[in-house]
Amino acid sequence: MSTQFAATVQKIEDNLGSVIRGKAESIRLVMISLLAGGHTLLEDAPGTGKTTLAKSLARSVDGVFRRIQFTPDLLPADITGGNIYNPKEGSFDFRPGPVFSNVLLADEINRTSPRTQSALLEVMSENQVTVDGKALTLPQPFFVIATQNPNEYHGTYPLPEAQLDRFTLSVTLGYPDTSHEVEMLFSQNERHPFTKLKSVVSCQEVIDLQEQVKAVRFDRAIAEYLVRLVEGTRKEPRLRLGISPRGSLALYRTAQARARVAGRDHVLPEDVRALAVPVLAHRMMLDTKAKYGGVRTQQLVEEIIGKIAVPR
Amino acid sequence: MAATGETAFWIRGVASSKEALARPPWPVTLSALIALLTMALTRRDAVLPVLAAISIIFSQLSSARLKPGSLKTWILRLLIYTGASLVVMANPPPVATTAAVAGQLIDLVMLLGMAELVVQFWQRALLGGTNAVLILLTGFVFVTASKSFVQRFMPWMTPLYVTALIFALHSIRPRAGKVRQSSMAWMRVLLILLALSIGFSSATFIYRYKKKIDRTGFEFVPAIQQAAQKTVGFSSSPVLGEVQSAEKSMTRILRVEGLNQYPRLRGIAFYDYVSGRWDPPAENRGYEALATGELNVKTLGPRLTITRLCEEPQLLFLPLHSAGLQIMQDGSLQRDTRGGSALLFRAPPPLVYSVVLSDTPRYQGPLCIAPDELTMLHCKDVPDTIYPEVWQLAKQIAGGERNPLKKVAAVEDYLQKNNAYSITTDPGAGDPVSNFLLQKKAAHCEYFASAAVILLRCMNIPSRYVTGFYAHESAGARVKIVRAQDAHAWAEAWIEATGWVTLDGTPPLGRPDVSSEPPGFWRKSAEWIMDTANSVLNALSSLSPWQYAGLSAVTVAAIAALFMRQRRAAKGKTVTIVRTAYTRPGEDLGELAAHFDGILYRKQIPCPPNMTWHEHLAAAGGPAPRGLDLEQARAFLNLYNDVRFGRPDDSAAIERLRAMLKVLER
Repeated sequence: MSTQFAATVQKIEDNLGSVIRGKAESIRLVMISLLAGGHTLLEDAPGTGKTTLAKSLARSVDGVFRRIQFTPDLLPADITGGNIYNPKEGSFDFRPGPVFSNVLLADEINRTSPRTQSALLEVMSENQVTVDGKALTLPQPFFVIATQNPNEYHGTYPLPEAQLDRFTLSVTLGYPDTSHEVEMLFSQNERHPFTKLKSVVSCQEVIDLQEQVKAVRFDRAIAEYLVRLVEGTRKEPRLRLGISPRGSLALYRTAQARARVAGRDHVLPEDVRALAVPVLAHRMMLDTKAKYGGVRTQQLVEEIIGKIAVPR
Repeated sequence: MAATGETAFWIRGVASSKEALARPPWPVTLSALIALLTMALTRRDAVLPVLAAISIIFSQLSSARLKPGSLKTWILRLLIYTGASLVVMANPPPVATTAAVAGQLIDLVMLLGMAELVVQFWQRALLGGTNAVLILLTGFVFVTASKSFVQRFMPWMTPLYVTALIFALHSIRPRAGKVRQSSMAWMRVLLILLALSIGFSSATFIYRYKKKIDRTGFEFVPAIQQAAQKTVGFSSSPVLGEVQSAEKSMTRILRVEGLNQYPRLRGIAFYDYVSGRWDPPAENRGYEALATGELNVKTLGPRLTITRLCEEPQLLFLPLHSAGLQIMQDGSLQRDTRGGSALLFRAPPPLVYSVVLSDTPRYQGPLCIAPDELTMLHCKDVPDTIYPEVWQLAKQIAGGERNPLKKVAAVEDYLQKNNAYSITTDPGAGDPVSNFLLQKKAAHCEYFASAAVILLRCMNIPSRYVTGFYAHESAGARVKIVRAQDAHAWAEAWIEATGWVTLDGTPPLGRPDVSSEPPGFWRKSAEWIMDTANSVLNALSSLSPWQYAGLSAVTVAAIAALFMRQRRAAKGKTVTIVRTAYTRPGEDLGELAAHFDGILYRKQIPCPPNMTWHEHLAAAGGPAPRGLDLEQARAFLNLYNDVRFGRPDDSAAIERLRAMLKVLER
């Protein structure tokens, strides 16, 4: 079973790797998020392949894919769907929004108003939508990949803490290195590699993988270590907001996923340490002095990791 | 659920309730061996310290250990302590005085310290904690072994031990990872400088007060003869015996600066030869006080600046033909009443005095007072103990020559050619000088000088026996250093219308410039350090109280600024690792973890508690950091992690882990 798991994961990664060159680490993080049953936020400068990665992942899974291009005039009902009056029937018909999919690409998520962004809160945390008092469950698996450019301030609305907390991890792609960028140029000479992409895994397979991840053993000492790290963020004076229990859970689940991808049936402290920054950094809020003092949340997470003894 | 709260991590390493096998860092072992070597050298019986040293070396090679606090360890300790006590009690002092009993007690305490040191090396112990105890015990053994302060050992053993101690202290410093080490760099430098200063101050203290410490030490060691109450490098009452009266050593006596054509620096002259001894002794003479101006006949001319570096003798050494003397210190100058034979100035070292040399070799200055009638009688007296054959020999040497200067030259020439130099001799029965001359024996300078005086007196030329130093060792441009081994004896003859002339009958091979041992590199280096320190101390002693206060304030402010700067720089870098208790692994796994940590500690690559072992080994660098088999270590860690976090009940895997650890230990 372990071999099959690894083979399936490799298939997806190879598929993504054929489109996004030289970003194996980022692809692995996105896979871990998917296997942990969470959602991913891709943050980077424009043109680095965020949307391409999200679309490639969506295409790799043989499920329903929907895309929302966030604009300032977007409304919540454009995301969740709503009841539309049918004059012929004289009743209201529910028109599902793009969230009723297996893979949802929320492109430029910070370009819409907080009112619209908050439409995703219930969706991402509870996998359901409430419209006119009626709760509607979303299909499984359900995976949100959102993209945003963290450097642009014109016409953008920073994501609220509640929204950020619902993303399992945040991935930064970064610019490709020279050799890979050259490869990319030649690979897109005639047409984009994305056009040749096919799905390699079904939704059921993804659900099976997620179930296998849950079976990974998590030793109590490592759980205590994880909680110590999280507690460290709550006690850090330079943070206005530390990590929530949702964050602990996200780290827990992603550590399991990482262990499983590495072929292990148990989590190691290295798994928790390796995922601490991508899982925790985007959830923390710096206080004003730290924010304008040039402190970064990634740096704080690393400092906290350096202060906590590792279980052996 | 496994128990929590018992496992704690702190900066120096992992400590668990299961003690890990630990060997101390090699500098700690080295300092222990040096302390035991000191014990072997200064104690009459070297067997016990040698056995202890062998035991300690063996403990480093073996993996067998005693469990601290166990009954077995306590029984062994009791047996060793009892054995040490029996050894001391089996050798009671010949006379049970208070001092002798106290000496025995120190001996017992030293042996017990040695015994405890051995037990500690064999003990399985918590990492880090025992090293401090070991260093303390080595210090204890070294200090108690140094009680006799035997001169030939301590100038070498003290710096050797202090150097080993510095490395030992350095090796047990806290290691909390790279972050902490970088901020400790300056502290380490300061610590080493401080240790060097302490070591140097201790050595200086011992060196300066060696005589007092020797006296105190000798009181506790009745077997050691206290006969060596010799004036350093000089004899206050020369006796013609088997060896030279003066104690020859490398101790520095004088520093002579200036161009000097007179290598012989006279200290005191003797007139009366009585049964192989020259009288009167320096301490039995009458001295009269002089104003320093009385000896300043000339103030212009070639000048020597002489610094007396020793506490004894308190004579002033200067060439015979000195025209002036100036002493750069307040005090009482005294001259013996026997006509300028000796100048005494009591002052602690360093004493600086300036000598103006005469511009002619025959100048008879303030030291060359013509002998009065009584002194003349003494200068001509040939005692009855001199054999009649010596008179004949003198006549033969004179050969009918009438010119006294030529007679002096003839005597000098005869002695240099007919008797060989030897540091030891056999005085024989009867008169030693007569035997020396008539049997043409080989002897040292005291015999040559005595023989010259007697022969000249036989020729009716007044003469006297002079002791002093022969300056020859160059220590820079126009600088000479005089050591105790440069002590020399010669004769001075009174020639009418000429004055006192020097006659040195010792063959050139026996003169100090040929026969003295040159100082070695280490001695010169140590002397340079001491001179530099002394000059700094002298400069400091000349400061006024206000200047002292100002200098102290500046020093304190500089040190404070340095520390504050370092603290500011280290503020962001210093990491305090949180002590955390986690759910413990099983007992076996805990032991394995502590054992592996012990291996890393002994390889001097201890893993900081805020890193995983894999991360640490990856950061340690190189394929085999400090000799650790990296492949084997990683294999161990992979299996350990599998068991620890995956299947803690896998006993077969635990056994495999034990076997892997044994391989790693090799």
